[in-house]
Amino acid sequence: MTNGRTILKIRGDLKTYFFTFDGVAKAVDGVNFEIAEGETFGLVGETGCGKSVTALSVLRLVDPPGRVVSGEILFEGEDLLKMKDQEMQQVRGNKIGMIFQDPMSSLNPVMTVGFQLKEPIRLHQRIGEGKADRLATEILEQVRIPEPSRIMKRYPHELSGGMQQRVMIAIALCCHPKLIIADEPTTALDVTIQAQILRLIRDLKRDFESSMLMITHNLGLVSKCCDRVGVMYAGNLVEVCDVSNVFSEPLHPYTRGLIEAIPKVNADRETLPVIPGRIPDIINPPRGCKFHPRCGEVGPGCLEEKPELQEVKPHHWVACARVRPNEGFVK
Amino acid sequence: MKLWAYILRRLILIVPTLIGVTVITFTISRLIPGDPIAVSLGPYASQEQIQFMRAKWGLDKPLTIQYALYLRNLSRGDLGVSIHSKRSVLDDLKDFFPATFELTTVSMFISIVLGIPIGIIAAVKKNRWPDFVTRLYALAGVSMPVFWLGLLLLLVFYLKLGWLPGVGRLDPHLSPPTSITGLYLVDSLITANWRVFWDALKHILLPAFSLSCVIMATISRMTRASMLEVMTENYIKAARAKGLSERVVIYRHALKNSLIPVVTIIGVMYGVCLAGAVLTESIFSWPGLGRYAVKAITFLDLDAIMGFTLVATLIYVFLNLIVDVAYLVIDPRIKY
Amino acid sequence: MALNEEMQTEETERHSRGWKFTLHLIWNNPLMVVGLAAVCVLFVMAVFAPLISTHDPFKINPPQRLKPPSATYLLGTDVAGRDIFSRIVYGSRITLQVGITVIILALLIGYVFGIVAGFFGGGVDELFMRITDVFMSFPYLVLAMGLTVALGPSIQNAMLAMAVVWWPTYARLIRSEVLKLRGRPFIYASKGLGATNLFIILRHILPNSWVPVIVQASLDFGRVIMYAASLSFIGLGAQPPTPDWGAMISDGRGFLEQAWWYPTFPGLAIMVTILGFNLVGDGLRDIFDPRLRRR
Repeated sequence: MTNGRTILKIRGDLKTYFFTFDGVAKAVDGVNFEIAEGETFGLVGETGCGKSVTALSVLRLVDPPGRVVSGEILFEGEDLLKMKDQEMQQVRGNKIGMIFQDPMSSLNPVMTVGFQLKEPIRLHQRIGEGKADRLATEILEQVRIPEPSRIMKRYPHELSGGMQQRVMIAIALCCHPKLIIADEPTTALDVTIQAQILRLIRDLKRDFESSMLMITHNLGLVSKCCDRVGVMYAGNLVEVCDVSNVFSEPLHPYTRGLIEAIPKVNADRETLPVIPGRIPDIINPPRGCKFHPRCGEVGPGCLEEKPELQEVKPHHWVACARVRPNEGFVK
Repeated sequence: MKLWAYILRRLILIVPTLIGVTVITFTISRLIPGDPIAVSLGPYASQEQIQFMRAKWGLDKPLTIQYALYLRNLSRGDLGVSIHSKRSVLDDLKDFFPATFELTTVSMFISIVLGIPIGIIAAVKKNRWPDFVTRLYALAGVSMPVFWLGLLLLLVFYLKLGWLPGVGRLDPHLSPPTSITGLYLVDSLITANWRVFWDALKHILLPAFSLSCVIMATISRMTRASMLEVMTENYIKAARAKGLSERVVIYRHALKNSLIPVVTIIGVMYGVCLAGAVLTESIFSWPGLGRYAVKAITFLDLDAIMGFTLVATLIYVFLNLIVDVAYLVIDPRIKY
Repeated sequence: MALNEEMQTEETERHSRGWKFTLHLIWNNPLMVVGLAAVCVLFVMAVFAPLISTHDPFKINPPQRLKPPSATYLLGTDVAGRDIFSRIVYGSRITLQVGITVIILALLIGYVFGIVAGFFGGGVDELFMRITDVFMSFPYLVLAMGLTVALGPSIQNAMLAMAVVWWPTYARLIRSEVLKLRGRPFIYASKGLGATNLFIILRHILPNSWVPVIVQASLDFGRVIMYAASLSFIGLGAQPPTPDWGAMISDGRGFLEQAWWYPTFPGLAIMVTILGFNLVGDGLRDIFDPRLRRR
């Protein structure tokens, strides 16, 4: 699927289920993909499609009643799901860093910024207070926070949203992780700040030579940041390809619907095409292809089997019964 | 605003409340049906004598003047005279205060030191047996009348098992330690009077424990609920994502946040403690304000009861102020 | 096909607010069921007291004083030879009476003050807050004690005193509910259509504000009983020979050594009653909690 060495390989059909009162919610229902060294992989989809849960599953941060029920998550060759707790703790914040969506609620309100930043530094690099202080100041400078030593003494609620997110990024990146997981890093921010933060994340990733898993529902963000894209729907990947292909030649009907729904200034249309219907119930999903109730191109084969990802073109994978290899969409 | 300025501002704001409290205590003391003067002078007093005494005590003046006189007396520390002890109520209260203070402080200490860890364990081991036991205890603890629990403890540990004494603060054969603070435990420690310390400790154990049982139930329940809520917060997940061990996450990140609501109810709990002390002291013949008040009730000694009410309320109000300030100090998000 | 799914989702939402779901929530909360059972037993005891009790609770029988529990005297006898079981059964009437009276009184006073303060606001509200501040500054029980002593120890005065101590809690709760409702558009609409204040209060505010009040009242019932028992224990509530549970414990204190059953069983009755009401109150609170309903 990729070019270059693989840093993260999810295989064996990753499944993360939530065992609730109303039934089993299949948030991630058989997901496989890889991320190569140095690349940015975007995981895209609507709210509730399972992209965040996938990211949390990688770090084994899924809270009960959720649980990973099958699959393998290979990071640098080792299966994270089989690691002991202590080993996993050495990976988190150290080799894999996670940037969360809402910085205000992801920072502990009763601790200073400096304390929270120095925690992972001291833990993973085993250095004293003085050295940690210096390193913390350095990383704050790298995330372009002015007057770092003053900011370190502040509490999270005293900072603006943009500053809080920079702090979060600093915390995630302070140990120079090989893999950065960014879960909708700009969604909770003002539009004016979003571009700055995005640029910051991109630059730092390049400087640190890391790979990135970017979770988002914003296709614009995808076009700016990602090398490859995976489109998720109701717990499954429906299309995986290079970023240019997802915009120029989307093959899966859902992806096509998403791309067509992007307002274009010069498009010759009066109404914006929308995908009819709503996302399905993940406790009782539709039979066969989960998208079939909303699909404009549904055919008889779509209700029988859930389609698997197939490489229909070089480096372009689609999970649709109507798409044949080397032929494209078959009517 | 600086902390001192805030404290000062709160103190000033308390004044109207305290005035309101005195209005109520004054009104209550004037509510008694019948004529207290006539009663105290006996059935053979003549009308002139009654009138004379009424004038002397200012009882013939309009209520507002009476209230002013009442306030004036209060400011001088004159809380009236106890019918029973024939001493000034203020002296009585001063005498009995240390015992109650010692009892309530030890109780609150036990409740907090035991209640909070119990709550934490119940939250961390949710739906497993420590949790069920704690919740059961919390429910039962809140439903038990504290005086009944005291009696049961007396029955088991004093009458049946004989492990602990059941009456008073000290063995009648021992003399109390040199009075520095009035608190037997503290004074005996300071004077290195080990025998008395040990005896005083044995005596305070049962009453303090019966008082604290009820309070501990509420505190552990509150801690558990607060902890459970905090554990679902995003910053806990983010803390785990840093690679911190679960232990550190709970005791460093979650605990401080979950204690904040618990601190706010400590003030109220102290009020419950004070009231409970009234009942507990009665059961264990603990020579404190509570037992004083109960005795005063038996004799319908109104001055004594009102004096007690006023002092107890004063203590409660100030304690709540201290708790409010503590809350401010703990939570950096609050602006003052 | 898509429309069907929309309708399905709507039905699920309606379903979570219906009566069936409420019953389901109650049934799945075993503790609440236990509480309801205890409360029912209490009511049955109170109503059918003459049928359930084995002896006359008031009849003094000196030769039988301080007898331990037996087949005749199920829970033993007290210092005057009266059957403790029968006295407890009759005592349930007093317990219920006191609880209901105090809460209703407190609710009435609280509603009046709370609505006036919340609805009219401004200076009236400020005054209200100051007054309730003063009342709430007294530690639990202390004010009730003082008031009952001044009025004269009797069960009626104790009930009055407790209502006086309790009303500020409800008044504040109601006030905050009124404040929440007052800002809602439908109130303005009503006013715009010419409704008088009184009409708005009766027709709109009252029906919409009762839920948290009921929850609070059910949680409080246990506490009222606790207060009442405490007051009786000190001698401020029911007077002898009324078979009040708190007073019975007080009577039995002195006989702890030779007749442990004397103070123990009335206390057990109090505890079970309070526990029952607390469980019901907790259950009600969970039922009416909007967050928990959306499971």
